[in-house]
Amino acid sequence: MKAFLHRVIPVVLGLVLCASAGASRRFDAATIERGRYLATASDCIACHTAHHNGAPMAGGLVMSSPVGDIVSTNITPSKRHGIGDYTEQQFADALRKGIRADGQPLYPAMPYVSYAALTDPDVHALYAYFMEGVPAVEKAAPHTSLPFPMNVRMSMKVWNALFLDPQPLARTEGRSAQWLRGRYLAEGAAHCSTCHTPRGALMQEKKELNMAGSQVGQWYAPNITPHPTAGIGSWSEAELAQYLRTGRLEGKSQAAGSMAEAITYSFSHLEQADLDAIAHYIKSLPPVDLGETGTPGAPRFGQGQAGHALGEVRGQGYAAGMAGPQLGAQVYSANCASCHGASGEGTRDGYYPSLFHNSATVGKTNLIAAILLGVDRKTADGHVFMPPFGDQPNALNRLSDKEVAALANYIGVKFGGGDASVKPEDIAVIRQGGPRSPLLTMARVGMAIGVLVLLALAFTIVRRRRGKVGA
Amino acid sequence: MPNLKSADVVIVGTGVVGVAIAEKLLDAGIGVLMLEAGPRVSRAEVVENFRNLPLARKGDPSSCYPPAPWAPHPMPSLETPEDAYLQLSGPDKYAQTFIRYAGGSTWHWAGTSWRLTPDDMRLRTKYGVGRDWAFGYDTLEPYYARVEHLLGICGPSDPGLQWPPVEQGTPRSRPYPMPPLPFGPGEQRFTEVAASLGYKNIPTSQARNSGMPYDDRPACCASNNCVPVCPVGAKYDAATALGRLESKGAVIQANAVAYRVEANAAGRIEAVHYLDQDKRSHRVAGKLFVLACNGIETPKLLLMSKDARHPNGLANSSDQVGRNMMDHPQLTMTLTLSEPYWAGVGPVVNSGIMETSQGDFRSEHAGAYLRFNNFARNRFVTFNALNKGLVGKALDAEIRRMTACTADVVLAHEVLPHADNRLTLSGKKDWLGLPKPAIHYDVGDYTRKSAQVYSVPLGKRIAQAMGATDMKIATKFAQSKHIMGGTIMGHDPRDSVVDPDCRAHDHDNLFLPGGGAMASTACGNSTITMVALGLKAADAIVRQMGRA
Amino acid sequence: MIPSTISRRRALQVLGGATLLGAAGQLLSASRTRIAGELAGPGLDAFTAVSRTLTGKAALDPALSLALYHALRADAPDFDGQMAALAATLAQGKALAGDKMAFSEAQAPQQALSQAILQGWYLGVVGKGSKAVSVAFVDALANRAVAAVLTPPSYSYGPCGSWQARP
Repeated sequence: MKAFLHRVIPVVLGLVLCASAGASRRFDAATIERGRYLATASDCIACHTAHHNGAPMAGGLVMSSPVGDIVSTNITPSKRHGIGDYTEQQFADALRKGIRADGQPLYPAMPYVSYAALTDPDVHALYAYFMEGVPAVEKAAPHTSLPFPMNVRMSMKVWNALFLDPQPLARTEGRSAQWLRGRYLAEGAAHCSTCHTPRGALMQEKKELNMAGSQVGQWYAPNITPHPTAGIGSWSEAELAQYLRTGRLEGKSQAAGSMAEAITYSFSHLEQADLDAIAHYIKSLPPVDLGETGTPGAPRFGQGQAGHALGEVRGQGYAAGMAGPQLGAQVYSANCASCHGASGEGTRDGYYPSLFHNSATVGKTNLIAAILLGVDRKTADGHVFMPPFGDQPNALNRLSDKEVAALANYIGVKFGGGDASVKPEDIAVIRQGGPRSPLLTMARVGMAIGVLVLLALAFTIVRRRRGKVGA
Repeated sequence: MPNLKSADVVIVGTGVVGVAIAEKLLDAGIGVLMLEAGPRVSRAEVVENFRNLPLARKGDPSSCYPPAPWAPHPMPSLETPEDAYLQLSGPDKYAQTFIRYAGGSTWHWAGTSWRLTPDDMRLRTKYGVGRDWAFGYDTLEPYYARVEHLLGICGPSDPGLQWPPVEQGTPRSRPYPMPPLPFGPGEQRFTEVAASLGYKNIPTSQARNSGMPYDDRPACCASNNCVPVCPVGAKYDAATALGRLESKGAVIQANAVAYRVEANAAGRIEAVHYLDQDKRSHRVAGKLFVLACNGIETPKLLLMSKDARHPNGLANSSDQVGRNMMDHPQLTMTLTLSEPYWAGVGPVVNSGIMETSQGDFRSEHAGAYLRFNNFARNRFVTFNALNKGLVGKALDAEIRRMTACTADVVLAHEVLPHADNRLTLSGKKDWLGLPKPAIHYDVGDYTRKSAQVYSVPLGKRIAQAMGATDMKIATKFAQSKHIMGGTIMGHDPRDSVVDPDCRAHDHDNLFLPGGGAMASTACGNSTITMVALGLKAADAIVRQMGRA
Repeated sequence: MIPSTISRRRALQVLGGATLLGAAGQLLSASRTRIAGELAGPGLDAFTAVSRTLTGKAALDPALSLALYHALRADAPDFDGQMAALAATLAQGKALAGDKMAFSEAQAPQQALSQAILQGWYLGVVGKGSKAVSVAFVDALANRAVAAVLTPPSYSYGPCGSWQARP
């Protein structure tokens, strides 16, 4: 009887406590607000919200990864469809170890490798926000199902053992409070390295090349080390902070794709002191040059000059221009010049950027992605919008792979100081979501080889046995 | 599921009215097949066509839209009398420019979206002239609000600057989705001058994205090219909706020239027949049909569809199909001014004096609306400067001076419906062998008297207040290219073609929405009213097909 | 901070002008370079010189000069001969009196030629009626003359509200 009561009473007490906890607020407003700010810095909303009016944090965004499509989960406090039943420990484990409440690992599309740096008080504040600061959405997000064998989540445990560092921020001496704060935000909440650090064969971040640039889906997250030509060595800290707040540095660069999203939802809402700290830290990184963009040694910024080739196409007629040797110039004039100027100079006061002195036209990928996907970036300064030219319903014009390649070559040569090396196949790769990783094929081939080896081994053993018996 | 042979609803015409109706039907789960007489052309091509035009032809908005041979449309600066598409007669020439491409004539409209006022819809009751509409402003108002949000129409939140004016008791049910576009320097000056005479130059309600992207299209950046084409899609035109319609399941067949609407013995429409670019005939069946071809092509198609049971054409027991053709006759004042105005910065039509279109005088003569045209002037004035024999720096200075110091002010009038202003099928044939439309037109004494005693004197007063040193006023009315009246709306099937939902009185499953249904023109551009009628028809179609 | 409008625009104009003047060869494609090779010579030089006199501009776009010369020669068989006569007349110094044409009646063909050349430079159009060919739009001098205030139609001016300022 005593044993029974010993078991029942805690359960009953637990139930009573849970019920009362559900009925009253567990967290104070200040903690929830701190959690909201950290969630903004961590940009949870960008991945965990579907485009075109998805409910905030309710998941459903399909992200194209090199091994297949990953769908974000509902992280609202819905008990049936979200994380409403998560304890704080389970929340912390998901965030910092990439382990769900049911014990299954998450895919590192969720940047738990970076969030592993978050401190306990910050995780607590985030928990408070997600439990009581986010409206519950009673709608399930679709499941992720990657192709075999990537759908075997248990393999992630091996990956985590190899590549997840539970203490990713090394102890340091003699660093200022601003630098430490900047590192905490950049390497932790803002997870810059998730996009900007190149990855190895098993898709792990190459820490020795931290922030040196990486292809992420359709866009290229550029080199943001302070390298003088390949990176942002020519930017001051104040300029970098301004870029994070507005997404734009006139005569240098502007954010599009996922970075535009990060500016819109995250960086533009951070306090100036935090932006300054991030800039201070980023500018202190070791400079690295991967040799990715343009001519070796040529700076990414300050390239190109105004000019046009209208003499080639004016007066001939559009069809002749599109069929002739100046396809790139004709496509530019017909589609781009209206905003970016007949000579690539943009508008007065640079509202539409010039295409020279613009890092977007240096190197291939981001120029192609900008053409196909456009730019959509909202900050306190306004809503920057360049329409897409791909296959979207709102494409201003649907350009073919051949037309985009000719256009990219025209812009790259005229305004980006580059060469004319873009091919229609390059456009097709970006159009379908970005380069595919060989990892999937490698894994399948590796498994097939493993099976064959096992079969061969079994066959040999069986033959040997038979041989022994027969002898 | 719609296919190229049949659909729940067949819509002939992919202009702004057809496209608005299609989207409403698709959202209600109704399958839609759209037939478009002309080709699908990219914006890039149209923009380059414009830039490649010799300067003299840039002023004709149809010049950058060369028609396909099977879908001719008027080309005023290129046509000879022998190959002209419209066969015009009468003291006033009903010259039009409309575009038979996918997207229709909103390719080159200015975007102006003036609502009607309650008085505009009650001319007979209030002034004893013209026709009353079959319903009042209150019925139309919610549709106006829907059109403004659908197309992205910007306008002022201050009721003192809105149209209809506050005095007519017409509160807006919804605010504009976007604020008005700022005035350029010439428009600001014109506003000051108008105010000094006691008139309000108010922001034009216009389908242009002001200060923000809308409808997944960019914001206006003042390319000053709205007419003939917006290079960036900041001005709404129906071509921008086609991709979205297809993503919702619409089937769009281009280069399909409808030439016959087929009715059965009971008067129900069964099919539309069209010719393709190889002159082959196709038959498309459906449960319900919408003809949204524009105010000339729709009555033309009805007349071409005559058969033994309908010797006067379809939907024509009233004998009103093709009659009551209306437009907004306009007179342009070209002024040389003593101070620089610098028209040409900003959108091409951005403001107007509308209050002069209303008043008790309408029992005697037409009202008029005045607008300061904001097209860049240099292409108009350079010819004159060259013809003066100027060279060198003097030539540059003259071009600068005339560009800054000349302006066009347009007086746009209303017109009354008249049975003799009539579209018929001429004896001339087009490339496909279909009859070219003939239109007889006379703007009428009601409008002529307005020019004599009202609008031109008003225009002169304003020109003087602007400090004009030279004033040239057109002596003959030009047309504003707003085609109205050919399938007029009314309660009585004996003197009207369509009912209040733009359903043909004679055929239960045939809808004729658009400018042709308008019972009065008022003075402001007709597009928003046409689309409002289209949405009202779409609601009726959804109810009729049991999908409400 | 956004730099001052005037200084940046002027910088771009200077940059653009210098580029166009100094790098004409690089702007021409292979096909135009070949034509340039064929057309280069005293005829083109004379045309450019006469154009400078008529337009009053010391610096003219070499790419446009070439395109106009090419189109005008196609339009008039003895263009070079007519050019020579016009150059001679202008050299006498009486045909242009204070920036206005003062050709005598006997010099009517040269006046017509001057008009055609100016039409080409200012409107970017060579020829008349159905034979008119558009050679330039953005660079037409009628657009350049007002470029401080207006942008040629179909090219963007700037963000919403930027057109409000009185010039």
